[in-house]
Amino acid sequence: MSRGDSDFARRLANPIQSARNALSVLFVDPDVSFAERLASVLRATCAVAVVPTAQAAIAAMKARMPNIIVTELDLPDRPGLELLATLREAPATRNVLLLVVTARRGVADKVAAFQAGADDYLVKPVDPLRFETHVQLLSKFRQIFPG
Amino acid sequence: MKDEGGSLMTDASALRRVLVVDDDPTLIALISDGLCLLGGYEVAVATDGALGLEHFYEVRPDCVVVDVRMRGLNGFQFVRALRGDPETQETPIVVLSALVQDRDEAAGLLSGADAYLFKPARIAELLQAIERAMRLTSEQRLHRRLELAGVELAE
Repeated sequence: MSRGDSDFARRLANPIQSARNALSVLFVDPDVSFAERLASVLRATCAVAVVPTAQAAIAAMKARMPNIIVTELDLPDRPGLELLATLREAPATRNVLLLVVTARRGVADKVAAFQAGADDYLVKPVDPLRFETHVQLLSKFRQIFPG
Repeated sequence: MKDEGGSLMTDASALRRVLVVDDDPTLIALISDGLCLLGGYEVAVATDGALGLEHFYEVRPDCVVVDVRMRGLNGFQFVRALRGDPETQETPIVVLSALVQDRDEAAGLLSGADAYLFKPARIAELLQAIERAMRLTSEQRLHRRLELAGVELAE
């Protein structure tokens, strides 16, 4: 059986404004112009930073710990999977939402990313509206399962 | 209908395919029989989430029925893997789970499932959920996700 999922879905849809306004998002992608396009849909409601490398991401996190990290898997200075695993294991970043946005669409990459700690996996090209939807849905999911 | 060699053939183009991903072999057998006999579906199965994702690309089902608690990938991750890829984001997906709390259903819908059913589900109910999921247009599915996310479309 299921509950009346339309009623349930309506309750889920109530905007969580305070959480949305507090979000800080860090993009890690050597294709900075691509990352900036996605970042632009969040700038109105979130604090956003874009960096091209894993090293720059670590430095950015020390300055301001984000709520969400959006990372490509193909980074110039370090494998994205390794970065994911490190972030998921470290106490300071254990509960940060980790989204992969990558050109890699293979099953093995997706499985490896989720097993390394990714919370979501988006394949490029990514529609900005769908990206914003994924971010918001993931944030709500995390409120239910704090991790 | 028989082929030239005399063996029995089915018209595969008329059959819709459902991929069932669940680590319980007894339940898989029950669901498969039910979907095949009562729904006329061709059924493919996988017993963990990672294998299920591999099998998805081999089978290209018309709908997926997926458990939550599995090895490899759990059901929520499986759903997100499909919803995150433009090639598979419109796949009809029904979650069928023994996790029966409100928050579990919420998690399933927020991950991108079109429906969330609690085990044990009657085959008739599962068939209805599959049919409803397959009838959703991409616009309806997107609109539903936008609504869940609280994302407003720009004018």
